[in-house]
Amino acid sequence: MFRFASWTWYGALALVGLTLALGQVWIRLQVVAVGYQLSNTRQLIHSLERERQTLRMQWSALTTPIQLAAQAERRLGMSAPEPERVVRVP
Amino acid sequence: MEKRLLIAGAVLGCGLLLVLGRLVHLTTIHNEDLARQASQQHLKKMEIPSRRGAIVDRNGEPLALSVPAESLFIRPRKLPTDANRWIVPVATALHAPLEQVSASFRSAEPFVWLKRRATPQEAAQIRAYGIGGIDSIETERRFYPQGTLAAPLIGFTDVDARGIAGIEQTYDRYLREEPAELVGERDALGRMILAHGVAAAPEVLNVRLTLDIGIQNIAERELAQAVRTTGAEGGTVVVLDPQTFAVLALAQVPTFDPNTPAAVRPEHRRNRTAGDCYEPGSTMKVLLTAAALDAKQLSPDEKIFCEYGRYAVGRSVINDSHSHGWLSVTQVIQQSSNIGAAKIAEHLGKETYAAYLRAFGFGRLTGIELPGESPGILPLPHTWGRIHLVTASFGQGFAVTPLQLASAYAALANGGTLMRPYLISEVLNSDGKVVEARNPQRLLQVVSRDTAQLMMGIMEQVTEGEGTGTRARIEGFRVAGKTGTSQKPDPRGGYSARDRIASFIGIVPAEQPRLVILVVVDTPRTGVYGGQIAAPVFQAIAKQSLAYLGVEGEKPKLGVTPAILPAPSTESVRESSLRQAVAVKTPEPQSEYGPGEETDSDEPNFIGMSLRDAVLTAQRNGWQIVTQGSGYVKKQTVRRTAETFVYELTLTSLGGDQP
Repeated sequence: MFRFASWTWYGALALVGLTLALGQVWIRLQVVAVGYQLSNTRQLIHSLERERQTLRMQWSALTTPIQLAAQAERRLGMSAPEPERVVRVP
Repeated sequence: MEKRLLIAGAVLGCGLLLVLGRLVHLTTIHNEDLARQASQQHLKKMEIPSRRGAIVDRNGEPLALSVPAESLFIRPRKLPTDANRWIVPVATALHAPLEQVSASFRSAEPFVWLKRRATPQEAAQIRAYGIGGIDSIETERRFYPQGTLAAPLIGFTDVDARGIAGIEQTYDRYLREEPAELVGERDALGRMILAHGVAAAPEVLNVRLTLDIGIQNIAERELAQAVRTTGAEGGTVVVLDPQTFAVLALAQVPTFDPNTPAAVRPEHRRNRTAGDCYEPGSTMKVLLTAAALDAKQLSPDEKIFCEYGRYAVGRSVINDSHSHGWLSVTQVIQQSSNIGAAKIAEHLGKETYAAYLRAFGFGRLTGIELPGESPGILPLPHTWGRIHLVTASFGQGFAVTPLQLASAYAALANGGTLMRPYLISEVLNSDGKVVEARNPQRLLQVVSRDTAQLMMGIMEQVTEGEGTGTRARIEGFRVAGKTGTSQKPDPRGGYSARDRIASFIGIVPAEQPRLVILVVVDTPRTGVYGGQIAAPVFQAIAKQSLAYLGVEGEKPKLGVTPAILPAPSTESVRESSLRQAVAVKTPEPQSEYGPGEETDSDEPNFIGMSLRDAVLTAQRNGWQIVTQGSGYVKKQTVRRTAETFVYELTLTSLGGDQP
């Protein structure tokens, strides 16, 4: 009886040990997978950030007062109004 | 049998003990070294390139940005054997000299930069060639979207993105973020595994200026045109807000494009508005008179004998451009009499005059956030002889920066209080939250409020009647100002017989100052006088800037139809106004009309009018209206208030069809 109980305990301990070891491996695999995801996401954020910077640069270059004034004059025939032509809306 | 088992067990036990001992040894005694070695094998450090914050104007319009770029490099020893055939395509793709690319390909060094801060397109083209031994690293380059606009004050950066001029230099410590490192494991393919997480990226700070690119653009455009048409060597414009001393515009000609700073000579990149000084000429007469009035050495109604245009001071003779007899203090300023100013200065005394000049901020730095500011040149009064005092009265013999002069006049516009001019409004983090704010800083009360007000009145006369600055006048606004014409020092000694600096400084609107504008034109060839050369430039800048800021002048007289108003005709409007002016007393409260509906015959009918016509009609008749939307009026409602009737107009949306 005593021998049977001891082996049962040893078996249970070994099972727990094996479960913990497998758990550790599983967690490690998850960490690596998340690490890859994080790395890819970071890369995506970085490339989007760079794209945003590029677009912001293009937008700001196209909307400078000099650029807008030139476009307004050339394409729309507009000019700066004389003060007396300005009507203020209440 | 048992003995053999025991021996085998003992051997195995000893072996196990040895392994355990080694395990303990490795994990306790040399553990740190070994852990470091292991980390070096599987951990990878990646440098995150430093970023640079943006510089924006007071409305958030970008003036300096960082944009993605790549720096291309060659490892010449790893180039393929047929690498020479790629020299021409690479040079073409990078817009680089052929010799330079060729030298890079043939270099004996293990690492050579091919092009730093190449555009993404250039880098993509090189990558498409697939040449072994050529690689790139990500970086950023500075981009100035407004081109030449405000270039000397924004400055520029070097190839390592360090600010080396202008605001870029002064605020480098805020704008430049230190490079950071990212640590992760790497797999067999060298890919990064961020198993240890990602640290938050360092914060990038942005700088907001007080500058307004709308006003800056107006100032630069008008100044450039004036320099071109007068054949001048250059010019500067300073625009200050006299309530806060915030710098709204600093323009100069010549200037440069900070995207390509090396394309111009270094002197074109210098900030002239705060870094260069000049002899201010007659613009100093206002400050002299303010000092004399404030020191009670002069009364406003005092008469000064102007010697009929010729006044001997020792062996020198002072002349006026026109001969005058007795002039009042106002007339001395209005007609810019040198002799009148000389007599005021002699009456005031050199010690007092110099003390006031120093109090107005001359001879010392203003503290503007720009590198290389000049304090100007203001000799100590004990070195002044009589002739020095006399010439100093009309702004010769000492030198000021345009910014100092604009600040001194801003003090008069600000009730006599001098403040520190400033260019940086806020430092912001990437979320737009204010990290550091700069507020207007009061320095001292230079002259009393009464004196300042008196001087504003005197300066208004300069742009009126027989004043020298009538070409600065703006319809609908009261303008206070002063012309200046000064001789330029001759490098060989004395003053140039031909070269002059023409200037005008004005404050507008005089009754409630919003802008102080100084225009300096250096060595014009079509004339010499400030009133002739600089005053029209002031007028053009002030007129457009006031419209831009929405500052209203006196309203046009009733019955005058603005030229742009297409319909209804003046007569029909007048006729209908007369009819409606009677009827307006009796509309039904809360009466409401929509498209196609007739209003009460006695009520004004706005239906179908454009927003512009409705506003003009209401202004002419003194009716109060409230508008909602834009386009054409589709509904009108009359509401009775305690005093009058208010017409609430609902309009179609912008671009909607005319009902």
